[in-house]
Amino acid sequence: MTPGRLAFLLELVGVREEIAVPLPQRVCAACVEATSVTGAALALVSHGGQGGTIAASDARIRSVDDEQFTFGEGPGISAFATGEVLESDLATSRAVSAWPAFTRHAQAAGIGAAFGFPLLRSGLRVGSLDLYRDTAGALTGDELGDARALAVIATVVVTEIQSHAPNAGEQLHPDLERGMGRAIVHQATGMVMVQLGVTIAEAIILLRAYAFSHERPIFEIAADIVARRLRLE
Amino acid sequence: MTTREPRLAETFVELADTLVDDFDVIEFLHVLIARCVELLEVTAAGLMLADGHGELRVMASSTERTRMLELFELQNEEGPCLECYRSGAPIDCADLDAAESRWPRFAPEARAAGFRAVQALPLRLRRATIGAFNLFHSEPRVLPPNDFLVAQALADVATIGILQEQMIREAQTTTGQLQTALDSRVAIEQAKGVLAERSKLDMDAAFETLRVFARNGQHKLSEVARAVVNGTIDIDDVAKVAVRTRNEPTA
Repeated sequence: MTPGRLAFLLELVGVREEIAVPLPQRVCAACVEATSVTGAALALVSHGGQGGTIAASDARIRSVDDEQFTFGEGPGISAFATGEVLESDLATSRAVSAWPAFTRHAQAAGIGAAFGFPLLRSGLRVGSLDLYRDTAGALTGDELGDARALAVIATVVVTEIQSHAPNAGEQLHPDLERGMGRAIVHQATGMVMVQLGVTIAEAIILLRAYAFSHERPIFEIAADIVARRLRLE
Repeated sequence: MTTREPRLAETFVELADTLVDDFDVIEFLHVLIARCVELLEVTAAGLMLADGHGELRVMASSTERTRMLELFELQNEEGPCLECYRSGAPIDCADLDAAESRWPRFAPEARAAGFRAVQALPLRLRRATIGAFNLFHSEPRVLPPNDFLVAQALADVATIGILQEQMIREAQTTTGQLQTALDSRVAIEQAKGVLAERSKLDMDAAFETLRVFARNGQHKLSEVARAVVNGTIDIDDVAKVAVRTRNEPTA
């Protein structure tokens, strides 16, 4: 990464510009412009792999990326947990065995390759920048460099937003919280924990398994549990 | 100057190296002070930095005697380092014997410590002065212009190193806050679910219960939520608050 290229990427994101599009979304758009990928998404992840997609280059990519947190697996969750992941062909057995449910879902949405880059700063991880391409194929060395630099820019952007939160160390900034939108799933998990007398980690797995076996979105299941229309037995 | 140049280049490389991984600001300043004494043929050197309240603190000294003198200077609020830090400009005193009226307490103390001359250079980047770099001579002299430039370059390196370390620490704080907030929000939503199910509350009432319980016990909301989710506090104790909350709508 030359200083010139970094300056170009910062220009692409438009870090100094006052425009209506929020910075996290501009980072995603810059990924698409700078590299060969079809789309990009920015996800925030907590310890234990809970999280949500807070920005994406378009609605389809957003939905693909956010489903990671339904399945508990995917490029962003892997990048958060273990570092950069490059699955240049989702049709390979390696991708399928790494993320069986996510891969099936992503392929059905037309995705051929997925790449995850951790949002890392001062040794602390807060999420991932996920790149998707409709066609299979590796990123070039230059594209990798750009993606890593954009992940750094994304990290600075989200930590900067959070630093302006009224209670920065306790509650997520409203601009970040808005995109997460999984509150109802966490609430339902807490209810399942009491209903079945299990730990929170077990409750997450049971909820996912129920949604999976009934082939219904986890949000619907969660909404039914919270509205007390459904109890897991 | 010619015999010194290779060593000088090495010093800058050495200092630049300490700026990367595992940067320890105290170690960095000690290296800087030691090289400064060696390269500039000064008798002793010291470095003071301003703390969060703008008060100077002695951070590194080449000898214990120098450290004591610098502490004396701070205690008596008088001397070259303080003047240099306040004005942001270098201070030269080529002869401490003639400085009695300028520094009635510091000058005799410095002479008693064996020094005859003193210089101070500001640690500054653009308009911000973050401290001062002090050079002590056992003879009445000041650095020749070339040596002064080297000293100023060392002071600039120190400033950049210190400011960079502060930036890294700040980044650590803000990133840590985001991480904590992310972890907290999941725990808070889950704890709302636990309480809602246990005490047959809606989610808003469950949140209010958590909030009041945390406030009453002067706990952090996120800590209470985590304890509820991990089962380390009795949920019924938390839920009792709900009854009171409902009986006192103004609470």
